[in-house]
This record gives sequence, structure tokens and C-alpha cells, in this order.
Amino acid sequence: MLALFTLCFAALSFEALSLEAQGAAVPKLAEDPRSAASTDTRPILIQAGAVIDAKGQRFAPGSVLVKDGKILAVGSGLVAENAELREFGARAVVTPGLIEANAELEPLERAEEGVEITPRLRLADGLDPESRAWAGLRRNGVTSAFLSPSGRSVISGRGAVVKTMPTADDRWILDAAGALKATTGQEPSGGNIVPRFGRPNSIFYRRPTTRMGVTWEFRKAFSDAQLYAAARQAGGPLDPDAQVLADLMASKGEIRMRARLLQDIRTAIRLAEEFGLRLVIEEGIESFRSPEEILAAKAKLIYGPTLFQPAGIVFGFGFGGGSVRQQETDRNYLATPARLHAAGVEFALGSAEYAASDRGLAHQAAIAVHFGLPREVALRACTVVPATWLGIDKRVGTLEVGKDADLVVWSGEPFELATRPVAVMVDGAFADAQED
Amino acid sequence: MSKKLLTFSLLSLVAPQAGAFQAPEKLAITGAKVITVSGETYEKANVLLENGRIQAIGKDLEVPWDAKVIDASGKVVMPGLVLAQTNEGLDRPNENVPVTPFISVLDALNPVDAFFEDSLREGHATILVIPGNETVIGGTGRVVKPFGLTVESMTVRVDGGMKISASPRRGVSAMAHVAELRKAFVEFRDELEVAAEKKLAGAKSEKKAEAPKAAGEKADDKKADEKKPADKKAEEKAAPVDPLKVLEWKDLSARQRALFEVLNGRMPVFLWCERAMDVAHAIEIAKSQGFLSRTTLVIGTECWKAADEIKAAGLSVILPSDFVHREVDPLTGKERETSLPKVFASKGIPFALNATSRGALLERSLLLRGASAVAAGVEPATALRAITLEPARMLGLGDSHGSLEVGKAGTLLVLSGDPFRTGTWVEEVVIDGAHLYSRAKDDRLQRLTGDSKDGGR
Amino acid sequence: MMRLVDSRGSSCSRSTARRVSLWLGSALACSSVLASAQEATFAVQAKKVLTGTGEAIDSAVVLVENGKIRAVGAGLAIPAGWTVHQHDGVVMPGMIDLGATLGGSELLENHESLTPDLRVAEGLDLWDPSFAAWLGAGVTSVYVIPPTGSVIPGSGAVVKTAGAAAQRIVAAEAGLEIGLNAGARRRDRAPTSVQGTALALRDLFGSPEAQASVQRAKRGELAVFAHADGVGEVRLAAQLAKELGWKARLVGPALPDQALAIARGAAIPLVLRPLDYGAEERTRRSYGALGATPHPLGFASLAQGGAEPGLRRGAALAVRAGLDPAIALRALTGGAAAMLGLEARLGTIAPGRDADLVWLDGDPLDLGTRIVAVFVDGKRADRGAEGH
Repeated sequence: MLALFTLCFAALSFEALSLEAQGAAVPKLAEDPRSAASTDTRPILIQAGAVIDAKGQRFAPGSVLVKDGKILAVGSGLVAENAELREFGARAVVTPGLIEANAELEPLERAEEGVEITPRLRLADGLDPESRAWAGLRRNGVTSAFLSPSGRSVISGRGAVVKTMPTADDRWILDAAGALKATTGQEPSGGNIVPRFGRPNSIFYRRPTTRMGVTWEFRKAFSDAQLYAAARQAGGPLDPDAQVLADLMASKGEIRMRARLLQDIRTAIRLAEEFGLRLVIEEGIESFRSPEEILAAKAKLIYGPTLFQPAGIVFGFGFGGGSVRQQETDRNYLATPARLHAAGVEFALGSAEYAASDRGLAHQAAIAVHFGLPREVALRACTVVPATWLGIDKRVGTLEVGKDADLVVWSGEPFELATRPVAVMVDGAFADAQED
Repeated sequence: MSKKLLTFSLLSLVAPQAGAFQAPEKLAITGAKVITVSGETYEKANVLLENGRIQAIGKDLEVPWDAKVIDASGKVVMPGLVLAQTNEGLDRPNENVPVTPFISVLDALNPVDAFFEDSLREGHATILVIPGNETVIGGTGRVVKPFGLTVESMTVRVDGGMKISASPRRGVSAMAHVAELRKAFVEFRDELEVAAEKKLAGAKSEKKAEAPKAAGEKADDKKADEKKPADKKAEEKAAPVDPLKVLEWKDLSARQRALFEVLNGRMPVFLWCERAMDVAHAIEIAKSQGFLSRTTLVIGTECWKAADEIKAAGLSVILPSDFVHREVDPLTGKERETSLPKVFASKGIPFALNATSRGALLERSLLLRGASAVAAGVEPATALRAITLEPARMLGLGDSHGSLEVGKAGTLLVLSGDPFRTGTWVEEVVIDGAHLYSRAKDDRLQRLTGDSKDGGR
Repeated sequence: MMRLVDSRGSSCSRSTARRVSLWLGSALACSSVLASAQEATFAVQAKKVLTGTGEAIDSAVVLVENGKIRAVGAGLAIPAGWTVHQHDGVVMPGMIDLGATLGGSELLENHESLTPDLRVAEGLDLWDPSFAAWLGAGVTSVYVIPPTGSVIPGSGAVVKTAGAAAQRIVAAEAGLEIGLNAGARRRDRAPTSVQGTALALRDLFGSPEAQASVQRAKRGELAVFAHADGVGEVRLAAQLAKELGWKARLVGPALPDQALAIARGAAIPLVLRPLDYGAEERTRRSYGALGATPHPLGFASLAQGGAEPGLRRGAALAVRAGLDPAIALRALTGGAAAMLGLEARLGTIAPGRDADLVWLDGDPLDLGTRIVAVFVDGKRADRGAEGH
């Protein structure tokens, strides 16, 4: 008991206290999952039945040597003395970590529903390192992801590119100010109310309430920004929201538009052209109906998710039933990826709100293969293509010497419905065991 | 007499009805890799069917000159898949009244429901359609094949099984639900006892009145009774009557017959347990009412926690179509996923996988469910049995369905490749020797997969 | 040797006890503490004095003069003529609750989410019975805050739980309350999301026309109490503090060790919720992992009125989970005062400080220890102290 009180703190005013100096005395705290890898300089040698580097080569048997979070070597029969050996057996196959090009993770944070046009919002501000979504993404073999803001606003702000293993510092955030996200179609108008009688006593008494209204809101925001830019040059006052849009137009920047039905895809193409923006189409459920238009618009397409048997072709989910999301996503067509590939469209795969579930990217890619997409194209659509489009291809996307040690070990051939990722490595550190 | 009639009608229904589908008398599937499930796997073998049954399987079998031939070179033949239980294809799955053992899906089954068309496409060739889980005793199901315009022509087995729920239905507490279930059996047994006593009393008075005259005529039947009437009386007083032995089908009302068949062990029982805690009640009730040996558990995802109890009771289970149990550990806050097939396979408990057309893409097909089970760590052979032979046994069809053996029903699939390989399709479906589905002629599927000329646009 | 007259000490009923103590009060004028409450000067001789800095002095004397502490130490000379009270137990500084909504139901202005100019001090009912409950639990000062429900519900005030009405408000504008947690957002009023909250705050703090309290917070003159629950919110709080120049305190993180990992680099003090019975294992571990961290800590009940703050119990449970006892004690007293910028008046037993004292019959972080008396500004203030 006496000992409890003998600890003496002379300095009471901690504002003056140098915290850094005393940092060493702090006992065990939340462990940074990657701290072990970054401080341990012992290399790890991964051996499996095959290694696919996503650059066109397949090493069988294959091995990958990893040190300090980077890839030291990729090949057949690598030997490294002093390395920690991780053997996964002859059936296992190693691929680069998958890149989820469109993760719309609802549980991360609710949409900002105060207003429809919020170009300055940054999803990175709402990131929760404790979310279970990261483990869900990793279970799908995903090591990097573009987190897309919710589609409940017309212009909902900037997404973020992250690694799927959060760290205590912000190292895991690759891009806190990713592409600007906008949404066409019916969903942004969902929940808005037309005031017919009584007092408008809710923030949801507002435009838009239809697809047309959604388009109008988008066009108005950018038209206003054009006018604003002119006025600003003449010495007008600063409008930070309009400034974002004006800057985007001036730099011919990228806009990510979630467009599901063909009419919405066309709207997105039209709007991007109108304001001189480079277009990325998210989801593109009905893109199979007109791949030519996507090719002509030089739009990047992130296709997916495929969930159900589509309505109208095989029974099941009819129009007019279910949520807006279901009505739109049910108009998919299971062979879309194969068909897009046949039409010469390069696309990435994405699983939107299912990214962290068991219908995430590994599943989406397997379905694409099941319905006719060649395996190597599916792999590219989950690795090299999104890495390039997200501007992180210097670090991830292939298994190459010097790149980040992000990889997936599969229980068999990847993108088989009967295989699964058994181990996932992010920046040289394996995530928890994937058993069960 | 009427019991004999029933047996006869049952037999006639279980027997393949070749005539109903204009099946050719002989069908040969040639050049395929044949997975028999129960025995060896043949490479480049032929399967010969005659009168709806398998006549021979083997390499270099001669194809009869008069057989219809399906060339399956480079393809895979396996038994028709067995959907262990579903409440789809019905007008509505659950009755409002909780205790309705006397109703049958016969009156609610809709042969033209799209569910059956889709089942045929997925290769689900034998299906138990049974009432849903939202009752106490839900009624009897039927084993059907997904083809035919009348329930009778679809039927494989009339007494498919009784659906009983050990888990509380919506809005009812577990205590009240289980109490209601027990009460239903107690009351039914009381009813039977009264009926049995009445029957015995009736027989006695009849005997007294008729005995002097009819003694000669009925000597065969009543000899035992006539010899020692006094002893018989003493026996009656000493031992209670066992209504199950005294009563016959004809003594019962239409309301009583189905549950009577459950108690005397002739009707299979499908016992629904949503949560692990329900399993103990289910086993206890099945044991006390004497139908444990004919019982299959239909379980929810949490029931893996009761796997040891299930094994000790010697039961088989039908897994939910989404067979991954997810829960957040209340202490660590971490999400935990448990794959049921792996748990039951590792404990050696027989299980059947299940599919539903109401679920996501992978939940719609037993083949894809099997693939998912393999992904979860189950041996491919075990996964294969879990969609063929195991469910067939649960339906009491282990001797006629679920594997390719000489003498068994000619119900099989031709697949484009190995069963669990991504990209494998059901190419042909043959049920009881009738070639009922061909992917090449499935217009709806072609629209779905892009083989259609307009590409689904 | 004088002994404390405890109105609950006898086996008779409460009303009898009150009558007895009243009688005692009048009859034995200077021999009871109740009577001594009127004295301007007195000395306390205690078995142990915990000063609130982490120091413990055995057989110490505390000299109190005109509501302030004149001196503390072992073997101090007691001036002639001073009454001496003997306490066969522990004396510690009055505890400080770094966030509670006491003093009325009208403390949340609901019309919009950012109302930085509202002051709790201007809507406060000092005679709210909750103050007495807090006092009974040994809490002599409370940082009264508006209830959670807005992103900036206003500024909080430091209030004593007893004493002369004119002196009870120690600091009328002690800190700006900012809610980054889910409770601060509502679906029907912007902002509805974390990222929207971040943007609204950046806009507010970036605006030259912002309210006076915002300007003061921006210059670091007014402390910002940022309420953050999840690790993501903690991360954002640290980032905004850096961007917007806050003198920040991080309030109520669900997992303190994770919050510490983030706050340590930014030198942001942590205000913890008291650990409660039945807390999840990961929560318990997280509190325990703080160990003997030198990082500034405090406790806030974050209660909205009620019968007890649970502050001392919460700290005791945290100690059972692994928090260093000396650290916990300091967080309840001196550390908390420093976080409010009131270390010259509150939180420690040292010359010149307010004579806010708590007498206990044992170690304050033992769950069985009872409070025997509470003094505010040198006057006995409790009416029969509560157990916890």
C-alpha cells in the first residue's frame, strides 16, 4: 500500500511536460500489426505450388522472398539462408494481393445526408481502423482498396485508397484525397420528400426526388462552378465548394460516377463530356448493353457486383419490388464481364457494398470466370488494372522485386469457387490466420 | 385391407413412372467420366438405362441397337442431386394454425412454379417439398421430381416426412413453443388411448353378442380371445393398452393418421432447430415420442455448437443454404466465422447441403454449395455425398437414389466438367430414364450467359 | 482525542441520527466536525495525506485557514488556539469530474448542430440535487458540460458541488465542447456523418467571422474537449487538433490504449470514462494496458444527472484491470485540475489551494473504502457521506 503512493510526480503542469522524452517508459500498448515486420529484418521465404506474378509469368513450384515489407525475389526454387520459411503445400497458389477498386463500406460511416453536393467531404476523415470491414476485405484476398463514398448524395466527396491492414499512424492510407465521387440514377433522391402540405420540418424536404433532379443537381453544381471560376478571376469572393469543382474542371480531373442502368451510364458519359472531366464508371450493371459507348467515351469501368440472377431473364426479383438498390442491381447480366472483355473493354472488378462480405472480390472474380471470363483477365481486373487506375501501380498490383510485399496464398487455383485465400500478407506481414 | 391398399399405392408411386414422360425404354450415356459416388469412378464409360432404371455401368459396354444415345464424351456423369428439404414451390410455406400434422403439401404444391424449372436447370432431380419452420407441427411433405404437370406425376414418395419445429416461431417464447409441442403429443396419445379402449370395448361387446352364432365363422380371428376370456380381462387391467399396437389405420380419422404414422415410426421426421439450445429439446422430444431413429435435424447456423449432442444422438443434419455461422465474440469484439460443413465433416456427422432459389447466386445451386464447402475445407468426396447420397438416405431413398448403381433409379446428370470446378455446367438431366433437360435447348439460360444471339440486350 | 461525529455512524434511524447530530452540534460546540464547519481556521491530523501529486505523507497535518490550505506536512507545528481534528484514516483532495451534465435539463440547444457561443454557466441550476450526490461521492468540482447531441453544444463551466452560491462557479467558460462521436450527430440535421462533421469544423474554424469562443479555441486560449468514441474518431480528433490549433483533450475513448497510441504523439491528454462493472474484456484490457503511462489522464463520468458519478469506483476498477494506482489517483485529482488549467486552485493539497478535502476510512482505490467527510472551501459540506 505504501508503495502505491511513493511514485512521485514533481511536474504537475503537464502542458510543459515533454511527452516524447518519457515515451520509452510506456508499457505495452495497442500493437501495431506491422511493427513486427518493419523492425524485424529477418526475411520471409514463401513457398507454394505456384506463383502467379500477374505480369504474365507463372512459376511452378514458386517462391517469393520478402524482407522489410518489400519483395526481394520471385521465382522457382528460391533459397535464402536465415530466412523464415513459410510453406503452403503443392496445391497452394500465390498471387499479388487483390485490389478492390470499389469498396462502398456502409458500416464504416453513414453518408453525409445534410446536403446533396458536398465536394469537399473526405471519406478519409471517417475511417475507422477498428472496423471489421478490414478483416472482411482481407478474407477476400484484398490488400488495397479504393473506399468509395456513399451513393446517397449527388456529389458525395472524395474517396480514399488504403491498405487493408490499418496501422496506428496513417501509413496505411495511400491516398486520403482520392477521386471525387458522384452518383447518377435513383438512389441520391431516395428519402427526399416533396413538401405538399404542412411545414417542411425535415432536411429531407428538398430536391432531387427523381433521376432528372439528380442530373440537374450535378449539372447545376458544375455550371455554377464555371460561373464562379470566371467571377473569381475577376476578384470575386471565395466559395470553397465551387472552387473544388472549378479546379477539377481546370485540371481535366477524374470524376467517379456510380451509374448502374444504361440510361445512367449515358448520363454519366454526357455530364463528363459536358464539363471536360475524365470518367470512371462504378458498378455499370447494364454496361453489357452497350460496351461500344463506354469504349467511345474512353471511360474506365469498374464493374460489379454480381449478386443475383437478374430479373426479367430468369424469374425471381421483379421490377417495382425491393429497394432502389435492388431494383437497379437486379438488372445485371451474369456474363457481363465476359462480354465486356469480348467487346474489348478493359475493366476492373469491384464489389461495392459487398466488398467486406463473403460476396466480395474473390467471389466476384470467381463468378466472372464461371460465366466465361478468362482467368488471366480476371486476375488483371483485380490487380494490375485497378493499381494503374488508382495510381498505386508503382507499389502494388504485381509480384515484382522492389514492390510492396502484398500477396495472397490461395488453397488452390485462384478464382475457383472451391478455393479460398488461406493467408494474406500486407506490407510483409501476414494477417491473422484465415482458418474457418 | 385398406392398409394393404396404401402399401400398394405407395409402391406404385415410388416405382418410376416411365410412361408419364414418354421415356424411351432404353437410354445410353456414352464416353463419360462416371462418378458413381457410392463406388468407383470410371473414365470413358457408358451408362445404360432401361425402363427408368440403371441396367449397367462400365467401360466398353455395348450400346443396344434400339437405345437413345446421349454422347457425353469428355463430360462427367454423376447422380441427380438431391435437395434435402425446401418449402419453395408451395402456395405458401407456413400454416397460421401451429399444430397441423394432418395437412399435406399435396394441396399447396404448384407444379408450374418457376422453382421447379430452375431446380431442373440446377440438376436438383429429387426434392423434398415440406412445410416451413414457422409452426409447431407443420404437416407432411412429399418427395418430388421437378417435372410434371400434376402433383401425382411429380411424386417420388408420398410420405416425405413430417415437419416439426423445436425452435420457437415468431412472436412466441421458446418455453411456450416447446410446451405446445409436448402438449400436442400428450393430447394425441390421450386421443389414441380413448380410441383404443373404445375399439377394444366395442370388439368385446360385439363378441359377446355375436359369439354364440358366429363362433364357427370367425374361429380363425377370435380363437385366442374365445379360449380364455377371463385371462384376457385380467391382462387388460394389469397392463395399459398400447394404442399403437391396438389401432389400425382404418380406426383413425383423417386428422389423426399422419401423426400416427410418426409415432409408429413409419413417417420420417424433419425437426427444425434454429439455435444450438433447441437441439437438446428436439432430441429429448424425438426420443420420448419414439421417433428418434427416423429423425433428421434441419438446423440453423448456430447449431454447430451442439454438434457433439447431435453425434451422440446418432442424428444426421441438413445444413442451411448459407452455412457460415458469424458471430461477434462478446469479449474480444472480433468477428468469428465458422463453416458448418467443416465442423460436421470433421466430427463424422452425416450432413446434407442445401440450396435455395431465394438466396444469393452461390446459394441457388447444390453444385456451387458443394464447391463452397470444398473451399471451406471439406474433402471433395464428402461434399459430393452431401448433395447426393446423404440427402437421399435422409429421405428414405438411399436404396433407390443418390448414387449410380445397377438397379437404382436412372436419375443422373451430365456435367460439362468436374462437379466443383468453376465454369462447370449442368448439360443434361435425366430423371427415371427420361431425358428432361438439355442446356443446349435452355433458352432462358442462354440469355443469362450470353450464348443467346441478342446477348441478352 | 476527538472523533468524527458521523450522522450515519450509529445504529439508530436516519431521522434520529439527524436529531442526535443536531443536538450534538449545539451541545458539544467545538468538539464535532459539524460544529467546526463554522471555524475559519483548523488543523487536521490524519494517518495519511494523499496530496494529489502522487505523493503520500504519513501522519501528516493539514492547516486550513479561511477556506484555503495554509500548509501541509508531517510534524507541522499547529498554531496556538487552533482546533485540531484527528482523523484515523486518509485525507485526499476533492475529486474532479471532467465532464458531467448536472444542473438542469435545459442545457442542449437543439436548433442547430454548431452553437459554440452557448454557455452552460448561463443555464445552470446550482441547486440541482445531483450536485449533492456528486459531493457525497467525494467530487468537489465538476466540469459541467452540455449533454451530447450536437457537434458543438457550447462551452462548459467548472462548478463546485457545494459552497457559497457566489463562489461556486470556478470558471464560467472552461472549455469548448466538440462531439465527434456518434451521439453528437443526428440523421435529420447536418452534419450527419463523421466526414461532414470534419468539414463543418474546418469551415467554422477557418472562418474569420467565427464566434468569440471559436476564436479563443483557435488561439489555444480555450481548451477543446473533443468527444471521440471509436478509434477512427480519435484519429480524426488528433488530426483536427493539429490542423485547427486546438488545445485539445480527448474525451471518452472506448479503447484508451488505442487512443493513447494516437494521442501520445500529439500530446493530447485523455479523459477516460470510469470503467464499469461488467465491462467487456477488450475494454478492461485496454484500460489495463495504460499501465503506468506518464501521459496526462483524467476521468469524466459523462453522466447526465443521476445518483452517483461512479468516478472513484471506475478508477478503482481500472486499477484492478492494470492501471497504476498512483496514476489513477492523480487522474482523479491533480491531473484533472491541470487539464482544466485550474491547478493553482484545485486538485492538490498544497499551500494556497482551495481547502477541498475528502476524508476516507482507507485507500481511496479500494472498493470497500467509505467516505467519511467532504470539505469544500474549508467547510464541511456533506450531509452524511455516501459510500462511493
